[in-house]
Amino acid sequence: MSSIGTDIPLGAHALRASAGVRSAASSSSIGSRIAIRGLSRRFGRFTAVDNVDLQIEPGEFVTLLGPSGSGKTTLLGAIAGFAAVDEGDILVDGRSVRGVPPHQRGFGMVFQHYALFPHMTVAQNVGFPLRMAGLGRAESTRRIGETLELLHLGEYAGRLPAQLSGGQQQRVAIARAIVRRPRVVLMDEPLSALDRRLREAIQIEIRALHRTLGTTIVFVTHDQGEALALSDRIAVLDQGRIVQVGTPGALYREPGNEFVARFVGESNVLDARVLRVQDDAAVLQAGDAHSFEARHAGTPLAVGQPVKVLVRPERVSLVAADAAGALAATVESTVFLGEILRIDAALPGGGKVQVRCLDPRDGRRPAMGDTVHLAWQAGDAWVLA
Amino acid sequence: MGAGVSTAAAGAGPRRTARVDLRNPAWLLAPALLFFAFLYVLPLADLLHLSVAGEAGLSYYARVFEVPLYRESLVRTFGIAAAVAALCALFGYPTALLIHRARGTWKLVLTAAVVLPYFISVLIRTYSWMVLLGRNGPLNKLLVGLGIVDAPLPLIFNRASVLISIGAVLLPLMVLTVGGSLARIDPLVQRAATASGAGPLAVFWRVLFPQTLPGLLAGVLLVFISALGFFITPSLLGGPADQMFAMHITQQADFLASGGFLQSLAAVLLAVTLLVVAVAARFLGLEFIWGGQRASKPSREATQGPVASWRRTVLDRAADLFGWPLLRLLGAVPAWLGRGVSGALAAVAFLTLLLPIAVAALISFSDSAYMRFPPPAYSLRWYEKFLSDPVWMSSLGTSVAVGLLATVISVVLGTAAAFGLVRSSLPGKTAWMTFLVSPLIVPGVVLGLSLYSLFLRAGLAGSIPGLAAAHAIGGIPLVLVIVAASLQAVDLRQEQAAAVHGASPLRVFWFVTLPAIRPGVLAASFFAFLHSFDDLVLSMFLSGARMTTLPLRLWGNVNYKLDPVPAVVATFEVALIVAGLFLARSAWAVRKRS
Repeated sequence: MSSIGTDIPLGAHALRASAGVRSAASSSSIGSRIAIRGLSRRFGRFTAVDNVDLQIEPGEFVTLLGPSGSGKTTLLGAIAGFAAVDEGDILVDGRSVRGVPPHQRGFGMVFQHYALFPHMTVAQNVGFPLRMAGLGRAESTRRIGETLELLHLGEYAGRLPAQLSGGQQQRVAIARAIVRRPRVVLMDEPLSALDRRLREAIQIEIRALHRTLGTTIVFVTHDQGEALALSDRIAVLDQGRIVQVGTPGALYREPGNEFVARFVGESNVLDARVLRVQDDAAVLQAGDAHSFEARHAGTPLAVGQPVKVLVRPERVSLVAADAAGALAATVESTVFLGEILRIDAALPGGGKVQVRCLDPRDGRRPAMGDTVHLAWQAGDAWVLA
Repeated sequence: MGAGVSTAAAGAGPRRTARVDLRNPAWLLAPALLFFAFLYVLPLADLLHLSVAGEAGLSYYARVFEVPLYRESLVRTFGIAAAVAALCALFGYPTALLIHRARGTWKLVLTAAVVLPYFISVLIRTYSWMVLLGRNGPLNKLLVGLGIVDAPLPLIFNRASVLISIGAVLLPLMVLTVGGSLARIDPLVQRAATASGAGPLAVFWRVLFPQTLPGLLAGVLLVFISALGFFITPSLLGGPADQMFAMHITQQADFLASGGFLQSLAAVLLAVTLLVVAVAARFLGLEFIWGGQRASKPSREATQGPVASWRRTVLDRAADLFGWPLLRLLGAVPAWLGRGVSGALAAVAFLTLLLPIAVAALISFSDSAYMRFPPPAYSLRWYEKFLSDPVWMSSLGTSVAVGLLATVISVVLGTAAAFGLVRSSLPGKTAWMTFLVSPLIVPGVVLGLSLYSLFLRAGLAGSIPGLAAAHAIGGIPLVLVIVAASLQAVDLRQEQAAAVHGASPLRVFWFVTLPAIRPGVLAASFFAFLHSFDDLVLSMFLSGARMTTLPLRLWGNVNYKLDPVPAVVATFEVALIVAGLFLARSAWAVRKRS
């Protein structure tokens, strides 16, 4: 592997060269650009991935988010080279990887449940990709030490995976994935086996690593909170298709449809009718009397048309009974969640509204059967296409 | 997703094809299939052909069923096999339960007490029973010594001794099969039943027992099928009235003299065995043969026909009226009573497993030329005799050579076949597996007779490679079952992790897959070696006049006179197996600790 220790020439041999080991000096260079073009994968009559297009920029952190069976893991497997592809192509830095076996793609990967080699020590696990690339012993040892330090694993080098805690095993798996300084790191639900606190701690570490290394990261999860916390952009998948791609903020504030609205964050989706249409807003009526303003994506709306409208629970507030435009509702349950209070209320028309608000200082929480009055700001309602 | 998934099909170049083959390695089945075609299928076909060849037609078969000697022994064989299966169930189930509930070192000791006899050859264990039950054996000495009887009782050469010794020989099979189904039960389910108010008896009868019923049935059938083909134990311990069917096939001086009649006897034994397997497979799936479980229940159980639902209603009524109230009443029965009964049964089981071996070990150190018990004095004279006798030593050497060669053939072909079966996307895997494992259920006498004429024609009779190949017919299925199980336990993600970080398919195998299945391959080698080393039946048919394996010499010795030399061999074998188990365990423990 002639490129070891030199900068990688971009161009014709970039892909092959990146299958080796990049030098520490180039570690701050950016990752690969990945272009997925019209990708499909079928298992019998079941279509796991359905004509997916996705462009991932160099150094970007993109999350594939979706429920189980949405095709996100199959898509990641196709990028890694494990899963066959029926149609379409994947380009890495402009070159098709069709027919390139996984071990020649030069990626790093973190697996669900870690997939550490149980019979190898931490150092041997982390050094495995270097060994496969034929790197010299001295250089390997240096690289392994460097990477273990980066992940605070220095003192565990001689241990076997079975002697480590879940969080430590997770760090070893990450170390193994980045030790070659790959241009692309794939992560398949890497945090799903950890408890909440550890998950949050490692999320922060992954973000920091991403900033330090500058690699392109493709991350798969079904946990929307994790996706929001980590990603530059999120691609939401449902039944093998990409439903929406966008920044975490955009997905949360302006989801493209009801599926995304319900899957990302907590949501109230109300039935309403259009009263008036303006440029980027519409006046809607929910129930019999209540009317309010809502933003929309610019899709044409007709007066009188029934629409679905999203209001996030934390945007709904409890107001006085005589406040203008307040919506009366009957409390069905009140749950204290620690930092906030969750109130589920029923509207007279039959709809349900969830409210997430701070616990009142005076301790007077609305009880079941109470009538409360709800309101939100004009910009907090979003018309779903 | 996984290694089993084939890559994109279109536009494949030559290099690509090679990789696809590694990912879908169905071709690795070919060596084992070829081997079986020539040494298993062809001889059996030849046997069936001989049984109806020439002018005989079906006359040989008519003779099998017309001559009372054969007809009655067939019926008797069924009776003995059924009784043995019932005995094994009665004593084996509590034993498995006891082991399942034991913890720590105790569990290990109890497991070893079952596994150890399982590894010792049938011939040696039968010999131990002859010593134990003999006229001057310890049991008679005890009875006379206690004044219960005046003169030694004739404890052997009767039906009871046949049932007890066949049962003891096959008991480990039952315990291990039931133990497997017990291990699969979620322990919390029993606690949930107790928390729901079920007494110990109700927990057992309504929760534990139903879940282990498939395992128990599988055990009963495996014991039954194995017992059908038995001839060593009834030959040595039975009287004239205990002739089993397989004995007729081996008792002829010249296997060729009787034309196709022996072949028709063997064909009947094979047909009867396969019939039992077929009936069993209807209820349990063919997987019971190799200790697996049917993947999913057939859909016909989900939809109840009108008759079934009517029957179900009656059964439910009966349960409501009698069963449940009775169980509630019996809920008052203290747990220790149930534990006591099952413990007593298990204790008897352990005695029958260990006592003969212990007695044989003791006899091997006897100073006497007769089978006196307790030995009048202790010495190593029989060890000296065994080790210094060139005849014994040469047969030991032959057995080791045959065993090693059989192990190599079995491990290479069996491991390759396991890969071909587990890792390929071949359709009908259960059918392939059934075929490859089927030599285990074919009675040894049938296999031996079928190979006999082939070996004569090919000049393989009496040769070490020939006998090793014959032993590999049973060794390959053993290796296949064990290695396939360890292959299925390999985490595919680990292989993917290796591949994505730069390991080519061959390196993935070398660095990840092989270390993961190494314990399985080692265990399989051990089994394959013992399978060959212990074999008497195939050797009887195939070793010719020139060659004598250790079991053959033992067989001659035991039939001719009862002296302590076989006890020496028994003790050596026990020591060898104990050492093997210890090595395996300590190697395993070191791996776990370091």
